Amino acid sequence: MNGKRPGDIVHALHQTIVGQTAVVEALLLGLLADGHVLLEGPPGLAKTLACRSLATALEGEFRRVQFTPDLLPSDIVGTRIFDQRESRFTTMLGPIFANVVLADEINRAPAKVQSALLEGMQERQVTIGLQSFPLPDPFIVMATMNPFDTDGTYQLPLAQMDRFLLRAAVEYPSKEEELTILERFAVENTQPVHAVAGMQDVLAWRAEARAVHLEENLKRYIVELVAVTREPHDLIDHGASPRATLAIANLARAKALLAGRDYAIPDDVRAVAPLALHHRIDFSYRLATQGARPEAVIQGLIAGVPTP
Amino acid sequence: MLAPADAQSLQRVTVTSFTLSSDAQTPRVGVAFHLIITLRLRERVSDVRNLQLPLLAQLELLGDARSTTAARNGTLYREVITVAGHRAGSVTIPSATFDAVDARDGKAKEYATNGLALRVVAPAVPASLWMFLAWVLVSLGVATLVLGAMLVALARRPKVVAPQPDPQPAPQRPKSLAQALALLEQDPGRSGALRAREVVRRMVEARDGETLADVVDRVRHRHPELLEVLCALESAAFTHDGDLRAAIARALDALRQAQR
Repeated sequence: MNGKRPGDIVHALHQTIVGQTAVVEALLLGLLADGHVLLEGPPGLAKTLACRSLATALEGEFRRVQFTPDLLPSDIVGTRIFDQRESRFTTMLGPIFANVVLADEINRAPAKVQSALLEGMQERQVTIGLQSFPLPDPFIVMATMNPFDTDGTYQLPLAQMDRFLLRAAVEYPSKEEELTILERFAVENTQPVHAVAGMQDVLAWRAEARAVHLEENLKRYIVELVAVTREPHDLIDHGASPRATLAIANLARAKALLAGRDYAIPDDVRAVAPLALHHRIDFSYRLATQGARPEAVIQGLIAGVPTP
Repeated sequence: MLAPADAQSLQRVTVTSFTLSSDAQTPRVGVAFHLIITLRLRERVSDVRNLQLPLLAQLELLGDARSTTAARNGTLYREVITVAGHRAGSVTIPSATFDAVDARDGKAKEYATNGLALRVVAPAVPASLWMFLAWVLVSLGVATLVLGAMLVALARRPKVVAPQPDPQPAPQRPKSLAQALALLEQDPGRSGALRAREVVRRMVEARDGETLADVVDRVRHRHPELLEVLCALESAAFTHDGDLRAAIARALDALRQAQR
């Protein structure tokens, strides 16, 4: 166990970000569970700031890619260019080669660009020409999506959404939080985050998270939670994949580590289950026609499964 | 501006006005109201094509009526959409659009109405409900007077010593704690911890889907002395095997402490 703890990152991020406790925790959970994070929320809610602050707090290399309809896969992964002086091709690595990559508005780029990024996320390596290049470790992609301006966007298919370990909704701040934002940002631009841990600390925390104990009955509880999404339901067409089961288990371990425990409890599982399930469930069109909220449907399903 | 290929299928007209309005600026939840699209053309046409209605994602569509009136001085097209809001709050209705070739310059154009911003407000309390509430209040007043009179009459009667009720059964808590303690002492392992935890959860009336956080929230003020028991048993039930012995010892201590 090293001296720096994941909680230090949370504290550092809250120096800059007002409120958004759930988002900050989701970023940390993604980091500890070695997965990628999808943030969904309206513009102006500090999604980008949170990702940038996390990278700074970790002393890691941060790159941001603004996804647009004219983006090309080579703009993400890199390309080979001809060096006239050397008379040979050299490889220019793209912005994906960083510890923290922010894919801003991922649904604004066409499918082939999304695939290029998602392939890197899955394989942890990128092939340019004939050569494969491993991505840095740790490597975490944080993608953002705006649920409103959907004109000219390319919706991510369920199979691609599945690559994200968790999806967190970014909500509007409370009035008190907004007042704090007003006061804090009236006198200065953004309070800079200082590095509080390094990449080696992240790797050590991940090892600790993997070692967190998950009791047998808790594993069965996770399986039941995912299985209940596949049972016939008016508002669900297809339930979550087994990748959701793995995601909930990994996130529950990370959540327990954040709470300072080396074992997970049912509270950890229940808290992370919506993060892992929301983007993996194929909701029926009736969800929109009945004015139901996916969050409420998921909470209803979870509440129906007896805790161990 | 539209592409030439699309323009070939468009009507050639002169749009003089194209508006979107509502007959209620602050409609009530669940009460139907109307959105009215009005298109005036200088030419006489029998029907209007390529008119796109606004997307009404936040409202329920209940009906739609169209009328086209062609007169000597042009055409009036009206479309009345009946909708209802199901949630209080702001509703933004985007523009309706109409694609046509402008008869004045021969160019294909997309005309758009104004958008609308409405505020759906909570349903009003119906007058019948007010009448019902008034009736309840009057009835309560009358009942209080009658009860008061009866109490006064009873107080004037000679007192009779009422038989003492049977003593209340002793609370189940000490019994449950003792049972949990006995279970854990008999079987100081994982299964014993789980059974003891189940007994304590039953004692605090934990439901099937409730976790430790829910139970703690509920009993924090009523039974603060049980918090340590609940946490210690949770730890004993889920910790890893290496720490199990210490967790069981802590749970036993907490149970004994709570019993005192």
